[in-house]
Amino acid sequence: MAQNIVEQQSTLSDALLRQLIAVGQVDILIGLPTLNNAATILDVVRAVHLSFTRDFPRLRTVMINSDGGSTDGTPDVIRAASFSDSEMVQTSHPLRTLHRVLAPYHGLPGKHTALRTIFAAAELTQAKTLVVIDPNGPATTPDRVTELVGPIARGDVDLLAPRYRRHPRDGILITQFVRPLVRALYSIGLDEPLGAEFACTGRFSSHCLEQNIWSHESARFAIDLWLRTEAAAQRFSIGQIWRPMTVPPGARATLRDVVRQVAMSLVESLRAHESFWLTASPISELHTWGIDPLDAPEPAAWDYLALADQARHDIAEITPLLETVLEPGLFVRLKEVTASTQLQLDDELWVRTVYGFATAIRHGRAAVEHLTDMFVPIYLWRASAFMAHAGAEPPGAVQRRLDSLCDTFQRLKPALVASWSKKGEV
Amino acid sequence: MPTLRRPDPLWYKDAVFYQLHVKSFVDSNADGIGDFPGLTSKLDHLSSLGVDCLWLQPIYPSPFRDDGYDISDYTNIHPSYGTLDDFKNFLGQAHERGLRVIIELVLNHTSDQHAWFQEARSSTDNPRRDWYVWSDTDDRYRGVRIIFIDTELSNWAWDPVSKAYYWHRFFSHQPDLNYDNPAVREEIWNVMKFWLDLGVDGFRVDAVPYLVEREGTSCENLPETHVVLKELRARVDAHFSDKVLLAEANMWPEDVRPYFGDGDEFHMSFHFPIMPRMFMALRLEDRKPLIDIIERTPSIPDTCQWGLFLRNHDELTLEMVSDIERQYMWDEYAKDPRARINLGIRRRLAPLMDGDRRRVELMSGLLLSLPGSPIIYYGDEIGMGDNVYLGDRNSVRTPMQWNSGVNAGYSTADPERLWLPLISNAVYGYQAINVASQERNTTSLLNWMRRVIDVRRSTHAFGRGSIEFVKPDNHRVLAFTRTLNREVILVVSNLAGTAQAVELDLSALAGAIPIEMFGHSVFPRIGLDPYVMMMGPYNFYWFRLRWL
Repeated sequence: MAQNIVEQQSTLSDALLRQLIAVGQVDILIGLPTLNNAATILDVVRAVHLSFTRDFPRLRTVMINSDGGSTDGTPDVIRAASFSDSEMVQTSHPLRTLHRVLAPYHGLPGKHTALRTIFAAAELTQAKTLVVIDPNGPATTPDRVTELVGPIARGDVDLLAPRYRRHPRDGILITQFVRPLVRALYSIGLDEPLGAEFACTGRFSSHCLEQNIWSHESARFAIDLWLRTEAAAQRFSIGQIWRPMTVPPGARATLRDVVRQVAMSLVESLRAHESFWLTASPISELHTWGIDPLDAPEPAAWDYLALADQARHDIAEITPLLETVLEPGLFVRLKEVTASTQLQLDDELWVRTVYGFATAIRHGRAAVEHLTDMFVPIYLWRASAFMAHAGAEPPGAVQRRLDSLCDTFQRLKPALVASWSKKGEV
Repeated sequence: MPTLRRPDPLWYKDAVFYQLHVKSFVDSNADGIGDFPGLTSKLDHLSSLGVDCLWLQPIYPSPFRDDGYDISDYTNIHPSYGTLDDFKNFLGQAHERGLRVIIELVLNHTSDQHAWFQEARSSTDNPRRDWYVWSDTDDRYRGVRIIFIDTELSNWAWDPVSKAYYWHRFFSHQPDLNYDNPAVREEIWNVMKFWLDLGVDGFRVDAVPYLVEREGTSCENLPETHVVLKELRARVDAHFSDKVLLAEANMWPEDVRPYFGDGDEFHMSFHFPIMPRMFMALRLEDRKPLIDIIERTPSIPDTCQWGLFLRNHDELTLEMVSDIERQYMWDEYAKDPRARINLGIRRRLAPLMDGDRRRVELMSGLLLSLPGSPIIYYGDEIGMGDNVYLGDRNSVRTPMQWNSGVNAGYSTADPERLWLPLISNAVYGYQAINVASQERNTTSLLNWMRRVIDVRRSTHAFGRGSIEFVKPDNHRVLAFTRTLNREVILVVSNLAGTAQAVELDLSALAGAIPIEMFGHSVFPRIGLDPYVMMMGPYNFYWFRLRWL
């Protein structure tokens, strides 16, 4: 019983620890954080296996599956996976024992727990290169695994983030909110702050492991975002690599929840890194490895008018609350725009609204949860307005809109810095 | 002035020191005596060893009646070692490699050949007369012990020139300075400032307890002596930063403690009594002597540090042990009577360990993991031997063995001209034991020393952490933790020459995962039950404990 208590207080279960002791030190650790990925995981595991045997036969490698509590038998699929000799012969014969470690669910559910386990395993195995593969990966091939290793193993960068060739109307939460905000505040040309796959050095994972973030709600919901911003704020070198887009197996959270969680995580990052972004230097563009897929399919159409109706209704409901947390001028303009029959919210007002919420959170004008709840319908209004104007435009024109929005976030940053730093407000 | 890259006022707490005598290191001009150009040419060896600070034994002009500790000019370099410019070049090159340098400062006395003493003895009216301690009789300060009982009969010596007695605590050719005279204190400060202005990083201050004399006392450790030392420290702090003052006071730790003051006297002091107990614990295969002395050691201010060593230029001193302990040490480590001198043993580390690599490693591991800053004596990093047939303590001062060529690469002079002969026997001779051959062998002692120093440098816990003993039932196993904030290092050493099983009560550390620091191998998690370990003969482990 007492020993169980000791174990429960740890990120690593005793069973996992025993496996890691057997593994010893490694050069490359590939982590597979899974949650109900039984349909795709076998291909991913095969790709990792072939990458190890074909491209790194001399290196010490381990693949670690950290499962977040799958109910579809994902760990069983991995455990049972075996690869025929014919595949081995076609590739290469590994000189070393290939290790495949399964870390069962242990601790709080969520990707952050899975990543923490993988980071802890990397720490114990002294992994020089750590790669985290998206388990939703029918497009994951041995080549794509191997190419994630290269820039890290060569010491080119500390963190390698994915870059996707998106249609400019795709990924609106990214393009309208997360990307331009991170770009402006962290001075870094990072395309996909929320991308699931990445690779990093042991130095970076070790640093992350030491941070007091893992029990925070923001880590639970948007750990990928925190990893990127932490790397930028702590001046780890960052690069990007072209990756194929992956599609999660079914929606796991509503759009509202996702927006709320991302917003909360961003706020936590801004708070933690304010000494960095308040004085950050000009934007640095990142080197991108890999081959640009060039083609980006048109995203599926969605009913933005219905979303706008819902947003207008929700905004009307929270108007009295908005008045208490936003600057009067900003509130009046926002109220006018969202009450209008025209579906619009121009770049400048949108950016000022985002910065206005950040300031409200900074100065504690309401609880973070309430403020992010209030922010959600305004974001939905903006997303709908963007589609209303850009929905029929050719991709080039839409892309120019996105670029212009990034410029606006950057141009108005001094206003956020001033209001964030303003003293006297509690 | 050359500057170091990483200023840190507490650098000495983490530092690994390396003690060397310039004349024994490398001779660049074929006169048979090591010099600064030679030493400069070997800085890369010291840098690659991973040490942080070089401690140079006396470099001053001297008649050499006490191996340079009889100084005749405080602001110059002994001509055999080169010029002041040679020294400056050496210092700059050392600093460029991140190596700090401290030099000897003999405060208590000068050589009788020093111009100050020559002036002082010339006339009772001479302005420097009062720079030394004179008396018309030899009965002042009666009862004060004589330190060099083999050679001196009194602390007073008759000066036929000035027809008076002068006071000397050491050899009679080393008259004591009079620290009651403000002019002496001012001049000594000028000496210190001279070298600090050149860029030296501090001083190993010789024989500090004896500066001031008072009737009716032992003339040792007097409050007035501490006043002098604090004054010098204050002046160092007022004018310089990142400097260190290291005290030589061969005493029990509780008697040395006042020399740290409230952090306003010495930064460091040698911990003399711990050294023989490391040797004793190993031979007894029992941790008791070590634990006893460490538990007897008082705490010191946070900014202060103990200096630890296994061997140095003197005999392995047995002053700070009981008669029974001393006899045991002699019987075990100096069976050959020629290995004994004064109250000690004139042997190097490797021969003391019977050439057993495992024991050399274990002792080095203890040196580098116990509380304090370790000081490595030149040549011990390659396991050099000694020559007990040489006089005095020259047995451990023979030339450094660089390679298997002419004169071991130490000098191109005729072998007969070397200031001391090389070690040339079949076991420790330079043909077998030298830097070049060990460079080529990845498993050599030299490369092991580099590794162990590197591992020590990976954490501040060894230099700055607290120590807590574990004390398993098996007395052959010494186990302790070093803790600094959230970092905990567990050290487990088997002092026995046979394999041992040990159960460690580590329940206070339950949940921690031990990671062996040399190979980074992960060990099973520590729980509430006794932690069982199997240890080979003279094995030791350093574990970094992680709560993951």
